[in-house]
Amino acid sequence: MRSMWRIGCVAMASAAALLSWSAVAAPPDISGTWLPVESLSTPWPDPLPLTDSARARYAAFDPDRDEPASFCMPLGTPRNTTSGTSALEVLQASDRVYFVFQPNLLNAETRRVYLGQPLPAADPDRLPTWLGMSSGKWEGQTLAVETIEMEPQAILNGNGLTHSGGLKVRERWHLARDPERGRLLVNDLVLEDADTFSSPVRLKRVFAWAPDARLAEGQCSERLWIDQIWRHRLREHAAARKAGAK
Amino acid sequence: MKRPALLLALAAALPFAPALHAAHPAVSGEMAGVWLPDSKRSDRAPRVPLRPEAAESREKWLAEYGPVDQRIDDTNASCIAEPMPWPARLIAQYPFELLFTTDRVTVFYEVFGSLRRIPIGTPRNTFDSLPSAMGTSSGRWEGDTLVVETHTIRRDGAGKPTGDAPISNARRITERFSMGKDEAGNKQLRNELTIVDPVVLTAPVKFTMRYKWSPDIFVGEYLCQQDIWDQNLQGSPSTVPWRK
Repeated sequence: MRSMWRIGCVAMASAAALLSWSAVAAPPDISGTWLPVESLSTPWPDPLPLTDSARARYAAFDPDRDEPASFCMPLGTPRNTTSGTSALEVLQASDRVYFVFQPNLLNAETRRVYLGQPLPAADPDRLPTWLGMSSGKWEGQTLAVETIEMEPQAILNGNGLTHSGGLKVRERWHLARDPERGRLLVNDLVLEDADTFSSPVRLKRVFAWAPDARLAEGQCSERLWIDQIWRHRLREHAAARKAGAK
Repeated sequence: MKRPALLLALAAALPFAPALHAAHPAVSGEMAGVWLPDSKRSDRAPRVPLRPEAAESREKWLAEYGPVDQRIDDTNASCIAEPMPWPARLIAQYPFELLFTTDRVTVFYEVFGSLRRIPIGTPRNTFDSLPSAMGTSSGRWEGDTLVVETHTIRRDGAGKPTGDAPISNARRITERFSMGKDEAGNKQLRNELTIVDPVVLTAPVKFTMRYKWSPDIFVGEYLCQQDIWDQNLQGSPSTVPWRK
């Protein structure tokens, strides 16, 4: 009887230890679909702390010419995360976290964050990408992400705020609760780019959990194709038929 | 502590341990990662046995709207993602990635940046799914084989003389993913595809794709409109009519 009591005590102690270990060691589950909440997010600082060259680029922005989204190009990082218009899907595995956006431009913009893999040393032969190169690590309940080597052709917001190839984005993703919206995913961002900003820019982006939301395939090229080409072709053929009938 | 006591203690503690990805068998660990089509070992696109009315419809379309101008009428050239099973049967060297997360498999194709979400087990209600290029999928494990059923595949862009065979709303694609090895003993992913479309096809179409394990490759960004964007930045007129 005494030995059963000891076994029971050991079992309970082990269970409690495992439970507390899992609570401390296991990262939070941030997977799922999330919708941006503009009212809880922060706007871009006004005035923007721009360098002289960045101010000149900003003033020269021509949305008809310089807006990549008009050409079905990606929003790029960090605009995909900060735009406030794109739903977000987080896919979480033990060694990586993927942030998927489908902002109606590409079929998907997938930011791949590899955990515990340091960013590589700078290499002038390596080309920047629209989504950049990201590395992350869990610091307690917060996912800290660093992103570098983002394509300078991308812009940071719809007003034409540009950046250089030296942009570095630091993010801290964590869960929170809101009395109205319930479960939130909060991203505190710091943008550093000596060619663009005279001081780091801090932004907060908040997403509300939306388990029933579904991200859909982008339609950007399709819309242009159908509207501008396909219907045009059909009109051409119809006109040709009419001309032939006369 | 004596061994029986330790075992009992661990057994009692197990229900409290962090949940693993119980929806997937161990073989999913072999399947996860980046793969390239093994063009030499894969079947070529099979002949599609069209029903007479489907063939007639196609000829009628061609007579009405032909001749086809490849520069304009090819959806592929206009950056429209080709519908399933096109990315799965592609033998061009575009990689794709399989990611296994709780109750889900996600397929990331580099080509067109297409993405497929495959819930495992009980699929969510998809009655209101809109047709899409990748369709709506659900998956299940039959032993070590991942079986994926796909429906609600978008018809636009397919069935034209420049594209694949016509697609009807009744189209269903079944994929059976399993692990194997090639004759050199290299790890291989196999996908046996069956396309059923009784409105368009006289019989199911079957073929098998084989993929090479490619751990050193990343699924890259597929910037289909890059040329047009570059031409715009350089101030030169586009060769694409709607950009002139």
